[in-house]
Amino acid sequence: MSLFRLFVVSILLAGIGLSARPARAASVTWGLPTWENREGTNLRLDLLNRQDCLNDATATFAVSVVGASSSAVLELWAGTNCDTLANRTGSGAAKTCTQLTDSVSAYNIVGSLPVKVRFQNMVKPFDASGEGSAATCDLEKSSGLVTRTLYFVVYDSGSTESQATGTKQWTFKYDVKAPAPPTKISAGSGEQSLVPHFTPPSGETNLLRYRFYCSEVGSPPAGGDDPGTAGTSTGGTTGTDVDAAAGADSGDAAGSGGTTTTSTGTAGTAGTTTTPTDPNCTSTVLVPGKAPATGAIDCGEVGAQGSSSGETRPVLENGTTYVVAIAAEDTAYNVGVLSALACGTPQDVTGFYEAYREAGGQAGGGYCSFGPPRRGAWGALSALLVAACALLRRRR
Amino acid sequence: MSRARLGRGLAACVTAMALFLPSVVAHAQGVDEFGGYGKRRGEQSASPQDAAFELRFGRYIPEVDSQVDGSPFENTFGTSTRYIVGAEIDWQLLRIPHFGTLAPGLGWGLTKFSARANFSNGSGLSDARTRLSIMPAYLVGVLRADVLPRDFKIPLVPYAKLGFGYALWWSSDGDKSASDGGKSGKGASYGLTYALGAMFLLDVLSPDDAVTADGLTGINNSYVFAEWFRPQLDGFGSNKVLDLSSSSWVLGLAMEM
Repeated sequence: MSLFRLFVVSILLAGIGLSARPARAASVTWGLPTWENREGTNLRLDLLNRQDCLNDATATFAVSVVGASSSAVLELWAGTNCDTLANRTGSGAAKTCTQLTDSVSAYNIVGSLPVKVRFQNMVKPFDASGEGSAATCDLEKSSGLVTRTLYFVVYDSGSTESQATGTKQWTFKYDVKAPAPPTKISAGSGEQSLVPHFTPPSGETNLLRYRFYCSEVGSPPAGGDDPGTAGTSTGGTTGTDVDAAAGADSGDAAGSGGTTTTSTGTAGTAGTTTTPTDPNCTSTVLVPGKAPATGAIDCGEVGAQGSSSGETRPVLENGTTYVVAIAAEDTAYNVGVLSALACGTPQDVTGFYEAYREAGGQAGGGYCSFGPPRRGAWGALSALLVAACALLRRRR
Repeated sequence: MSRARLGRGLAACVTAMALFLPSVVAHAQGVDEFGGYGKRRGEQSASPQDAAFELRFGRYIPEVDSQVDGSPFENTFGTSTRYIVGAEIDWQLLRIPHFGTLAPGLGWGLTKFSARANFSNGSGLSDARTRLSIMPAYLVGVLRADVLPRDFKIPLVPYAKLGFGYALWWSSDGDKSASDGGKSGKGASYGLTYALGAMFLLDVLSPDDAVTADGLTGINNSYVFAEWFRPQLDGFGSNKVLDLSSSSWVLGLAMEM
């Protein structure tokens, strides 16, 4: 009988001991992801864009888990505070995470387990169900760079108790919305170049630069969008805008264009602004609201910070009328669609140095070029030298 | 604003400037938690004085058009006033008793001109920018007659500078360097440089702060100054040098350390 009691007490004590056991600590380690289906070179591992989303970019993490219980599972989640069960399983606003992978056993993953994660799932809204798709790339509501954190969650499948320790999260940024194009486009003339003026798009918080695309004037593509009507600025020595603005504002996104015809005015006077339509400012390869087609000239760029104008590279021919359109690019390297069109004609201009040379100036040729002094100036130089020597001698 | 308050403000400004310079250890004077102590300004107990430093701001219109036919500079950049910023440091290696200091000085400045280029056919201004940048430097002898504040308690220091100036310049059109006929639009100009000016000793506005500044940072004296400045950078009359001479005023802050 006493032996039986001893047996019962032992069982009870063992049960108490087991229930009081501290939580299991599973050490999670992982390597930086390797990406598939991304375009470009020198890509940042933690910065993704719309093209990555459309391409269904996929990351592979090599994960190890040591010390997990036999009933532990590993899942990858993206969002905020995904360590907390409520944030993974809540509903509505209470759910701040989206699941990226199915559960796999986390027991004794001593080697590196390759875990694949689709970017379309990483950017999925928290309340969306099912797998991400190309349509997911259009669901992002915020503009600018979005920061999310990817969590390596290890928990007991029975008790849901978290077991992961160590560095169990990785932060990444993305922007799956290409920036809107600038508006109120006009174009002034430069030497073998155009000087586009524009109004930056509003609400874009992470613009990197504006890209200029040029082409010769041509008929719009058959079946393409109607390029719309264009404003025209005539005669201005200032090349003032114009009513590209009017064209752009009044037209639809895929249509309107602005046209600037410059330099028929006289020196020193401001140009008059008129707003007739100019059906001639169209292009075969540049269509507002679309990406530039093959054949468009990539004719330069300007940094977005504080810019409302820029100058194309000098790759155009003077005397030929060109169409220019502008696309904005953000810091995730998303290039947006083309703006309205503006037209301009590069012309021969005379910069300061050219004017100086035309006036008979002979200076220039490099920092090491030397123009000898006029006769008689050597006397002044010698006097300076003597004075300097006298000073040094006095010092000694 | 009271005179003392103005003086404290200026002294604080000069002290802040000094933080960007190598600190100079003060010797003769002391500073405790209540500020500086020791003898007053003008008495020979200040920390050693070896150098002067100036922050300079002035008008600068180069005389480019003086050596050529026509007015290419004025036609391009107009006639509005342009400015230059710069700095100068002098090594006061010689003190002349009851007169002042004589020092070699090294100065540097930078200014830029930018305007819309003219159409070649004379039909007005294009939208393309044309630019001229000038970076003058000079090596001068500087004579500062600080006998007035030292011996007569008058807070004015007249000074004169004479030496050699050298300026790099470069021009650009749009994003590319300017050139004409295969000749690049950049070069160097040189010539005499001279100046006459006067400095007002700020220490008299707040002597206690001046003593503190000396004890903490080694700044013996601080000044505001105005000068007439003439870099005659015409290559001593050479017609192969861009004439960057200018004759104008300069204002600034100076410190002796």
